[in-house]
Order: sequence, then C-alpha cells, then structure tokens
Amino acid sequence: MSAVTATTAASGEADRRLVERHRYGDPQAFEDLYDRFSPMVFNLALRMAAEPADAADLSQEIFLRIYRHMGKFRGRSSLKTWVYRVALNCCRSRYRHQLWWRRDRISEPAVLESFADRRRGPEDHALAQDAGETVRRALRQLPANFREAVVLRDIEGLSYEEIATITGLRLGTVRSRIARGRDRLRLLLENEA
Amino acid sequence: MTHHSSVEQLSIYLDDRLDDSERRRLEGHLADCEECRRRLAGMRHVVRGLERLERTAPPPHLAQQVGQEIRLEVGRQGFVERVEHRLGALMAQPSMLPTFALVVALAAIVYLFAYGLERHQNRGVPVILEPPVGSVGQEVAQSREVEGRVFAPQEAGWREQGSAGVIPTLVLDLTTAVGAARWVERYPELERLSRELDGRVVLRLEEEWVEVILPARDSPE
Repeated sequence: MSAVTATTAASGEADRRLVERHRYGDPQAFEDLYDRFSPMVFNLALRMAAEPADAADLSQEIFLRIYRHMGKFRGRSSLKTWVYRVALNCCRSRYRHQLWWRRDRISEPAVLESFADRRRGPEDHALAQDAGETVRRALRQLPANFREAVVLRDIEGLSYEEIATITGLRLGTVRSRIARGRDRLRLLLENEA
Repeated sequence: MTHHSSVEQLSIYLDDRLDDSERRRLEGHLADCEECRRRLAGMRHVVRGLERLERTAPPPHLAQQVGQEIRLEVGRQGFVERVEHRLGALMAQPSMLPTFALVVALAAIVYLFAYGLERHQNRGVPVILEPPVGSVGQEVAQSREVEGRVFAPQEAGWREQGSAGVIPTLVLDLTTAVGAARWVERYPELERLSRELDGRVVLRLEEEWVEVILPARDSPE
C-alpha cells in the first residue's frame, strides 16, 4: 500500500470514528469537528457571502446544518469534502433568490480588516492587504457559479475531482467554470489596472 | 489565420492537466502568438493573486455563538423526545387504548366533515381563461431568425429561444464604440446580430447566457 493510500485510509477511519462519537452523543466530537474545520468554513463563507460582515452569521448556519446532518454522513467521501458540500449548499440556499448575488457586483471589503489574522506581523499584513485588495474586489464581482469554482480551486486548493464531488457538477463543467472564472478575473484586473 | 488557444486550454495548462502532446502543441503555439502569451500571463497573475490571498481567522465569538445554537438545538430535540416518550408510555397502558381510539376516530370525523364542507362550497361553474384572440399567433409572427437562432420580442429588446426563466450572468454593453470593439473582438457573432437586432437581447454565447445591449439600428454606431 502506498503512503498516500495509507494516509487516506487512516484519515477516513478517523472521520468515521469522529462521526460515530457524535452519533453516540459525545459532545466533544462536534467540538473537535469545529476546531478542525472552522477556519475552512469561515474562509469559504467569507468569499461566498454577499457581504463580508455576513460571514460569521453564515458560518454559524453552516455549523448548525452540519450538526443536524452529521449523523447521516456515510463515509462515501472524506469528511472534509462533505463539510465543503454542506457549506456550499448552505451558501447557495441562502442567496439563491437574490439576483445581485448571482450577477456581477461590487462590495465593500473593509470589514475584512476587523477579522484579519493576528498571527502575521503588521508589515506582512499591510503588504498582503495591498496586493490582495484588488484581487478580492475583483473576486466579489464574479457571478456565484464562477466564484465558487475559482474559490474552491485557487484559494482552497482542491482538485478538479473534489470540486466536481462538492458542487455536483460534471468534470467538464468544473473545468469550464474554473477557466471562465479565471479569465473573467483577468479582464476585471486588466480593466482596473 | 491564427486560431487562438481557448481559455479552457490555457487554464488547464496552468494546472498542468494537459497530456504531453497537447502541452507540446500549446507551447508551440504560445511561442508564436503574443496574444495568447499575454492572456496566459494575465491568468497566471490571477491564480497567484488568489493563492496569496490572506486566510482569515474565524472571529472568537463564532465558537460561542455556534455552541449556543447547538445547545438550543439539543433542547428542542430533548422536548420532542420527551413528548414521544410520554406518548409511548400512555400507549403502553391497556386501559388507555379505547380512549386513544376514540380520540383518533373523532379527529377523523371532524376532518372528513370539514373537508367535505369545503369541497361542497367550492363547487361551481368552472372558469376557463383564454388568451386574447390572435395573441399567440402574433408572438410567433413577430419572432425573428438570425444566423439560425430564433429570437422572440420582449420588453425593449429580444430573447433567444430557450432562455425563458434564465438569469444572464453577464451584461455586455455595445452602445459605445469601445464596448462594441472589445466585445465584438471576443464574440464575433455579435457583429452579425447587431445588424439584425437592437435593444436588450438575452442570448447564449459559448456556454453562458448573457444580456447584450445593442445600439439602435438607425443610430450612427
């Protein structure tokens, strides 16, 4: 057995144990899940929310949904993929009927500063903010279907296959959405420049 | 004539997902095509920019809020479980069975009576709504075929067949010279369409539904 396969199997086993503990009423199991996935869920919510200020509220809704449905996790995918799927569905259902979320729009990202990661030094932080600000603003103008593909690929670093599982789309559609999302961002950044 | 590489090819090239022969062919094309090199560099800049975006730590109050919501959820579940338990205990007593059967029978009688009454009240002459004479025929007559695509008129413009209920993901404004040049370069079919149609047109371009604002056909543009 290769090292990668062994690691995946071990991780799958750990996922199943965590879910089993939750099913049997161990409150620590959900706390463990929160500790493991809260940065991932919060950052996804931050990129997908209509306003950055909504990210905490949206994350809370996602974790409540995870709590309710965690017992139904059967281990067909990894727990990480399942959490992403729940989180993305939560974002979609929250904003489904809001036209401005699905089309091009601009939002004020200043609220991000209040949640900035304190582990970086102030200089690193300032530099990263200057460089990232333009990209972040352009990202917020992408329609949701392109934004979710680009966020999952280029920010969350997921493979095309994982994105297809999470979004429920065919691999070809995932490829196309990532490409078009990147190209749209390129045009937005060129226009801004 | 030079055929530029598609955005999809450039994108999967960046992700190193092209097979060897496709990669060699694309790299050969890139060596000769400045436009594709420029688009690839732009896309690479985008990917690097996204990868470098700062990850943000969840706010400390989030854990407390989630914990509070979970406690409320557990409380709600506890209430439902208690009710189920009480009902189960009642049903387990043999003396309670006739009373329970009586309650269920009474509830069924009340429901059937109310349902029958409502149906009786709703009975009446059915109303058939018909469209105004000629309206359907008019819509067919007014639709227009351009380059093999069928467009139906809509308020202040046109809508391509099959776009009912579709929300366009992009709005392309061709009413200015700069906008027209930029979008016609990207989607050459827009030039042919703008000769036949005007106003706001919802149509499919490549894999997307977009809304194009075309200049009035008698305008200088």
